[in-house]
Amino acid sequence: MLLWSRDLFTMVGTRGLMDPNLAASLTEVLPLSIYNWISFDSSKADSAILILINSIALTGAVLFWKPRSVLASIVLYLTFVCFKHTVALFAYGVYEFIQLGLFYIMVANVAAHVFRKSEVEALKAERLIGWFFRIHIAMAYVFAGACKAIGPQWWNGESIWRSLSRSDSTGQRWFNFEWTGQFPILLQIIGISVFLLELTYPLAFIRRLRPYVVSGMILMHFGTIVTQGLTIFGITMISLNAYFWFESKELDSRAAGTPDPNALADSNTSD
Amino acid sequence: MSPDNIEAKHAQARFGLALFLSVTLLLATYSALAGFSDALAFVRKDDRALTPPSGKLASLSQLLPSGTSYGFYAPQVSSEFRLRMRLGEAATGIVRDVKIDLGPETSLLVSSLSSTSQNSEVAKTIAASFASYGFTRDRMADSAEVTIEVEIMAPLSEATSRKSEWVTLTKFLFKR
Repeated sequence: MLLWSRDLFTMVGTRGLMDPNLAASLTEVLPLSIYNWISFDSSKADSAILILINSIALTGAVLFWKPRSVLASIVLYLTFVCFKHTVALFAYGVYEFIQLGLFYIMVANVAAHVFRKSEVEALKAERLIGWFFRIHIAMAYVFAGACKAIGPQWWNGESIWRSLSRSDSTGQRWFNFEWTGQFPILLQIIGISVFLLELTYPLAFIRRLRPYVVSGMILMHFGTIVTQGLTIFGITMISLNAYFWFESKELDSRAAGTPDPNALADSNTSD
Repeated sequence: MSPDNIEAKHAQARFGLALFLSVTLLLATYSALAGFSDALAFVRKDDRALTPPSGKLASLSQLLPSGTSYGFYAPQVSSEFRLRMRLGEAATGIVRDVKIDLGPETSLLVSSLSSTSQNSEVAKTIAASFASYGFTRDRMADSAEVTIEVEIMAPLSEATSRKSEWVTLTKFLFKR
């Protein structure tokens, strides 16, 4: 976020690329947008955006240091949503998933605080939240896959070809993949694999299949980083997949009151 | 407080938590379904699509992570759009291209903004905003020409024989 703020004001605020007054004519003012309280052309708008972006960076750092902080997770969620609603015209897919992740982290921290007097209850609540998150993200992947599967372009390799060979007007890409046009069958296989992977994501609920499904998805997102330079999007999705699926084994055993075998092995080693 | 009371309180809190998360998930599923029906209408070329949440329900969806459709790059990968701006000075006759130097992440956001300029009304508004940006930074300029271009890509079947090209979609001229 700090790196991102380097050219933040080229885009938003009173001197930004997208004039707030004009932006308001294109989109509705969302519930937590600062423009609900501050005039579009007021210099206070710039200060408010600066405060928001710094609050996100600061509370993010606090949460990294103290992942269980209730206050930091609430403030981070609210400031992020406030920022997202303020720059709604620029927001793209990654903003949705960052909000999703921060929401479930916030709810998990609040629940841990409410159930702080009973560790087993706290773990049960955390496990419940984990399951809701997994259902939520599985639903998102299924719909993403279904939306792709209804058109012909993901079946015949055209969409993969377009996503790989589109002009790099954003300067994001590391490599040129135009040569893949010589292998249409390969593009077709990749295209079908992408939406099949998304459609079958709920198979991750079967413990035996989970490592394959989640690893497949992580690989796919790694692929989008390498081929399209969607770094922040890829890292966000990889983190969400890794955090909420691979943590569950330890949580499950602790909530059930049985010691985690890995933790036991660690303590034996340290002895 | 007796252990039974504590147990009952915990059960109530767990129920409240499950209810809150269920509402979030239901709203999210409805938004995703609306997005899917939108994609379906696009493929079938008809106007019938499920209405996304509106009013207070829409606001609630936006506050919770429930207001999105997850149809990224679907049902097809659309063309790339870009905006180019030239500022001119009538007195000297000087015309120059404006290059907006951005980091990769912000460039991506500008690219996503440019994609919304497929709609002509939206395009005019975005072009006006770019012109205003140019005028604010260059006090001498008295005209701004904003061009919206779309990339016409060769289909996969012609990938080896044809190159992509940028075509001008619209051009707007603004005077200070």
